[in-house]
Amino acid sequence: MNCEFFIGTSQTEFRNLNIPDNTEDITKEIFDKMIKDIFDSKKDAPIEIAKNFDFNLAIERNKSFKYFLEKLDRLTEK
Amino acid sequence: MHIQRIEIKNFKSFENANVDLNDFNVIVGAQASGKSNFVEAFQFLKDVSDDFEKGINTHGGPFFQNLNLESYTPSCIKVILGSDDSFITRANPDLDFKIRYNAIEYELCINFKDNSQELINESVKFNFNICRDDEKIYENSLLLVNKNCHITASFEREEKYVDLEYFVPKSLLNIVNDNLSEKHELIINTPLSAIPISWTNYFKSINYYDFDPKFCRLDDGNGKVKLSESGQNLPVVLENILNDHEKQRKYLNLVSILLPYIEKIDVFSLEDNRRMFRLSEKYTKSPVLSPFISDGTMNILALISALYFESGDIILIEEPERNIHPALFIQLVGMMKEVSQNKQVIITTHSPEILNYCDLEDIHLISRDSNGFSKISKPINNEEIKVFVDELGIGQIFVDDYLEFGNEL
Repeated sequence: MNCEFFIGTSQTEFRNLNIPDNTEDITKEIFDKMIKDIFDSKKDAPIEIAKNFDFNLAIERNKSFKYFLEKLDRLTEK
Repeated sequence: MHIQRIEIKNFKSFENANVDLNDFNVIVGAQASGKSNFVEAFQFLKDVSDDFEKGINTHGGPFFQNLNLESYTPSCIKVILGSDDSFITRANPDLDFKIRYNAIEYELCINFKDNSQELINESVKFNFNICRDDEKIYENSLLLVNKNCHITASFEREEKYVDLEYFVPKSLLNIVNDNLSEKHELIINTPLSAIPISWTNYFKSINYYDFDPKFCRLDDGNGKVKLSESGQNLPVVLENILNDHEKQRKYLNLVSILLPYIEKIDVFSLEDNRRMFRLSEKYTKSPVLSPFISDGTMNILALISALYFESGDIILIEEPERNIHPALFIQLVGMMKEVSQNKQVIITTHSPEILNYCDLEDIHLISRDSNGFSKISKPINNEEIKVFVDELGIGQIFVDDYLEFGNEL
């Protein structure tokens, strides 16, 4: 499961998870730990997360994600 | 808690078989090799844990013994239940000792005389450690033996120099000193308050499923909310899931992995109070009523209900792949593996595609020996096979009947 899914969800919409404004330091391990108490199925979690995914919020919260998207955009432009 | 090992003697097609089980177990074998008989051994344990006589009669009475064996050969089933943290309890509150139950060994041996059952032996052994600050300072086993419906208790190791009263809970000592005065038919039916583990409930909670999509379409009207073996009350089970907001959310998410075109499921009552359901699909304007839903869809709905929404520590499913498109098998196996992290999963299958998504270590092969008795082997123990599996995949090896290759040499 990619953290990128998670970082786009909003704090108020998504099950009272305390998502920080900056998600740069959320590793896969931290992410797994955060959702473990919320979802008992790792197959259920990404679907629910995707429902609440906010693309702009994800870019705002995570520079790495923004960087890769910019890279992708440049590749697309070419 | 899960079954680490099962030993079967003179039960149906088995003469003598011992199997070490994993969290996820895939039983394969040719037609009439004994796969369902193996699964039936677990059902037998479940049924005798409810009622001894009923359990025996349900499984054929004297006919569950193998007719090729001499009549005086008893039928025995032994299981070893593994431990987890829930086995730990405080042994002596004053001295901060803890008692940790490592394993429970249960054995039931019966025979038949003039077509009526005779209890040869029933015993259960609780292996335990006494720990202080997580360090083991003492170990022993409490052994309960049923003789003529009287249960006697003893410690396996007799102690001459250790004062057991110092750290063994009084409740355990009382069992050993006083034994159980009342008459009990079986230990497996006897609640023992001194043992803080609900081990008998473990057998009662074994879930067995052999879904028939044709029976899943309309509630059978018996009112049971626990999913039945063939899925006859699936509409009622779905109603309970869908009435709970959180369960509904999870159920529809899981269904969407395999059936992404399903948007909504509704359950409704007929005039005779039986339930039916309908699916709203992306493709159609009006919902599809359950009698017109495809067999594969029905099987998937039943499987997800059984895997994720039924309580119990062990789940047995006969051929879960029935009527399902092979492209979905990777997700189906993934679901079963995920569930096996919380409860033990045992499936039977004839599908090479299912096997291709399984780990070799989870596969148990059942075949017949030269005398016709069923035997069980683990292909992973055959070094010769591993080379072929890497090259061809487990499914192809199974189809070519080489899973037993190493055993035959």
